[in-house]
Amino acid sequence: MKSTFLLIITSVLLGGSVNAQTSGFYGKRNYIEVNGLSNFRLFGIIFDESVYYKAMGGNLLSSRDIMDFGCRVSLGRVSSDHFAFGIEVGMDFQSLGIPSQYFQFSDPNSYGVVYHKHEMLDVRTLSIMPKISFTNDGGLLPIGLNHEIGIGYNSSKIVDKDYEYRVIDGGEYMTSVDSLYLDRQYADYDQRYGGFTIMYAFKVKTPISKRVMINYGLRYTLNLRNYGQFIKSNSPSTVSSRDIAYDLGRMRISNLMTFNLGITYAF
Amino acid sequence: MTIRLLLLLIVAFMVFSNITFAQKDFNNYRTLQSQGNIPEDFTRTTKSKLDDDVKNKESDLTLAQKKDFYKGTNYAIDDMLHSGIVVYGDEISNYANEIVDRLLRNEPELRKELRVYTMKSNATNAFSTDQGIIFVTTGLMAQITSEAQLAYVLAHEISHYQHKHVSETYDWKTKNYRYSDRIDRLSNHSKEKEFEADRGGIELFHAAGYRMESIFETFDVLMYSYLPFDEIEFPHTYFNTENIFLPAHLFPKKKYEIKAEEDYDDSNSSHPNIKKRKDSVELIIGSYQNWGENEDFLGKPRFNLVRNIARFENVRSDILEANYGDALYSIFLLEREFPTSMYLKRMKAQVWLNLMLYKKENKANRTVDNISDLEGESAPVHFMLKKLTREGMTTMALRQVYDLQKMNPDDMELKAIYTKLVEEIASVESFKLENYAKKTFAEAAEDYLKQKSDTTVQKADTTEKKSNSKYDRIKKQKNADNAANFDSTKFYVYGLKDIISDSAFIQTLRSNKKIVEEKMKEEEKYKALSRNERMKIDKQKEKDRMKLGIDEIIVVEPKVFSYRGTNGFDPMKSEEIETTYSEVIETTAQEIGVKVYPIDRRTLGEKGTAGFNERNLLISFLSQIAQEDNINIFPVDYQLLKEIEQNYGTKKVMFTLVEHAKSVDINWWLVLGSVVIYPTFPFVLTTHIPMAIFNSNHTELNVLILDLEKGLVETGNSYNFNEPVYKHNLGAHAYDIFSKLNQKPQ
Repeated sequence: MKSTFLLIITSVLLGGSVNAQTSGFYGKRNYIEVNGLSNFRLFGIIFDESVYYKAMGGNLLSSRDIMDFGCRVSLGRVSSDHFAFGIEVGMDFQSLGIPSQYFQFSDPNSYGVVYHKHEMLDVRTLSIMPKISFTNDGGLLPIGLNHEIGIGYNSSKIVDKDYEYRVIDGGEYMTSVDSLYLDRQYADYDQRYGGFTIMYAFKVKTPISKRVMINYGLRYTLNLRNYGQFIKSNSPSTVSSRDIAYDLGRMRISNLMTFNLGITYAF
Repeated sequence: MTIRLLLLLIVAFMVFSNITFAQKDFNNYRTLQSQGNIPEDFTRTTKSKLDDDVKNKESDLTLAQKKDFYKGTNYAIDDMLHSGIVVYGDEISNYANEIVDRLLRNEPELRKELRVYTMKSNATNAFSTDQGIIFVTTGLMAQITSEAQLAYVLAHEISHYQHKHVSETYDWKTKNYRYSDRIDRLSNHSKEKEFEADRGGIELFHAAGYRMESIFETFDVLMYSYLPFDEIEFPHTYFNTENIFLPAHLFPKKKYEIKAEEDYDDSNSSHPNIKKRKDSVELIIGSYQNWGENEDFLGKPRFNLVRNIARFENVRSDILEANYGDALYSIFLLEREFPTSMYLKRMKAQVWLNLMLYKKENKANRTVDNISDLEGESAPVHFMLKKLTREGMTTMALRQVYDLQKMNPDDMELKAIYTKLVEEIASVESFKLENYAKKTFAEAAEDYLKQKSDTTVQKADTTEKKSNSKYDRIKKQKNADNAANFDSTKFYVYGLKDIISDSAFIQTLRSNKKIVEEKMKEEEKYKALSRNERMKIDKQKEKDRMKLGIDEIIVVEPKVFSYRGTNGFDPMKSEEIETTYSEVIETTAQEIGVKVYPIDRRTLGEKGTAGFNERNLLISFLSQIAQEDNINIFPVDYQLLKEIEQNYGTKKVMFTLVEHAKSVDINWWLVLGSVVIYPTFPFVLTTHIPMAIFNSNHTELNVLILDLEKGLVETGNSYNFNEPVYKHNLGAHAYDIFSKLNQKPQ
């Protein structure tokens, strides 16, 4: 993995060196870009039925997952005035709401409904994405209005920590009602949930010195779920990794648009 | 005082004396240039002038109005001062300033506020500004017949200044903008101001001791100012020599009368018509006694000198603006007094070369007056140029330039014009030496008449016809030397007898034709290529477009137009960006290794008058080229441009222009539609609207590289991008441009 990554970086940096006609930004054709991403979950708010609880002072407070955050670091190289390519790696910090009820089985034919409040799960998504950037005929990459297109792979994971949850009604299988629990078993914290991402972004890079640019823009992503794995269980079961995968996929597909703000350093 | 200092003083005195009293060498005339120290009007920034005016000028305007008024006027004046056609310290400006001295000898304080500059324009005009600058055009100076006439015009303009008519009119406009008939009202208001300026002008004029009659003569000058500076009959034989004859059908059979009248309809004019002004003046002058008798206090020789300068400038301005019909007539007028002037010869050669170039592109009609507009004695020149066919124009151009060059073989400019003409003629497909007769028009006509009357010859010809083949007879019919083929409408066929037997000409023409043929072959080869191959070549050409291998270049300061939303053009912001852009051009070029010689209005304080004159010449060169895209015009100031080239050691000049607008272009119909079809609204909200916001900067950066030696635009490019115009945005683009200019094409 490490050698593959090094190979990619090397090819990005040296890839266009034969094309000496391009001047880049003050003669610098390579750039590293760090962006903070913020996603206002407009579609999530409208369509997500999950209940979000936030643990605070021993209580679980009803909440909404309005904003998600992330960061991206990318390395790019200008190959002509209007064209650049690069690779980016990133991390998204998101939350996953847990359904407020689930089934608990005593045997395959007998189950009870458990109503509960569960602290939202922290999700970390690692992504890697080769991308191309282009601008209009008069533009001069990397500055100005950049359009970016990329296809990448992302891998999500539930953060392993003690989530708080409170059982409201355990039915006949749960004697303890309305007790606070610390959960280490709810999801499989070692499980990675993968998927592909198609991305289009436009960002404005405004240079503030001969090396540094401030960049801001919008990023549209379509996170494709791996359907072979991410199928919501259609038979009564306890919460399984398949349910998590389904919910994760649903959450990530609603991340259609993110605002990004960052800096670019040319070298 | 050291001897060295004394010597310097003597030299300085001598130079100064020459400047002040030197007679102009009209034989080797050079366009009017600024002299002496550069005035502050030309070195200060518009912003500093605005700040001063807002702070110090007394006015009835509110502060906001003052800011708006002085912003607009200072920008407009600065734009004029740096337009390349305004000069100071020259013979005309000095002359006009001395007249102002006389007019205001009793008002020294007012005199200190005023300064007169010359504007090289053929419009007959003078105007004053609220800032105390009076502009006098060379067109006005060329038309007047006495110092007193100029004195009256200046007195009138001073009166406008005294009465603050410019700011008053601005105030009036702001108060009357609501009226539907505001144009009519403005016209009436403006006319009142003109009458008032006439009243004030007459007072100054009378006090200065000028003769009264000159006022009425001035109005005559204004009325006929659309005509050339003189009305002398143009002889139809003007172009005839022993080698060429222009037949009568090329000239009009009638005279074109002068249509101007005193009592024209002035309802939509800012000025009252001449009759009304004369009537008004008639009443005013009645109240003055003891009129002076003098019309030339500064002397007739001085007046004639200054007027002749203006008239020479008239020729130059006509060529600069591609008014070749007018230029030829003005040359004809001036040749009467200056028959040996090399300048006029050069200008004449330029006119013919340029006419040929325009005709080649079927655009010659733009350079002469329409037949329906012809008036006065210059009409035959325009008429004749209109009548010339492409072959006729090519022949005339070659004939004229060839003769001028032959008579003055040592003149470099005529040589350059001739060389360019032959190069251009080589690509005129219809120009074939075999189409021209080896006899003159007179010889051909004589042969024709002789043949017609000589029956013996006819008989012999019949015998010959019988004996020759069909092909011999066809050839004979086509042979221009055949007496039977004589056609007076094709006068040009008999206009190059000596030239087509000039071996030097034939050799030059053939080598140029060879180059043209090679180019055509290249083009044919290109056309024969597959679409992909052609695209590949086009792409490479596009890549190489800016690659000139330049390591030294003259850069004229950039021009910036910055627009801010609905407020429109922002001159102060534009000036600010211009300064930034100028700086980054220098620094980035230096980084690339391109030596830049800036000719910049912001550094004129350091460069002084020499820099100002160079800048004017380069801007004139640009404006001449800009007349017509596809025509590689010969630069009117050829010799002076050559001097610039020698001074700097580079022939490349860069002009650059940036236009920037900030506007958020949201398509509200799309938004409204998405509200109606509401499921689409989130998409419109998250795509169209943010894109419109992020795309709100619209910048266009244009670059032109001119070649002083070739006298043409070497290359140019236009870059459109959605970026603001901050220092490093401009810097990065400048870096890119210089980087490409520095590279050699592949």
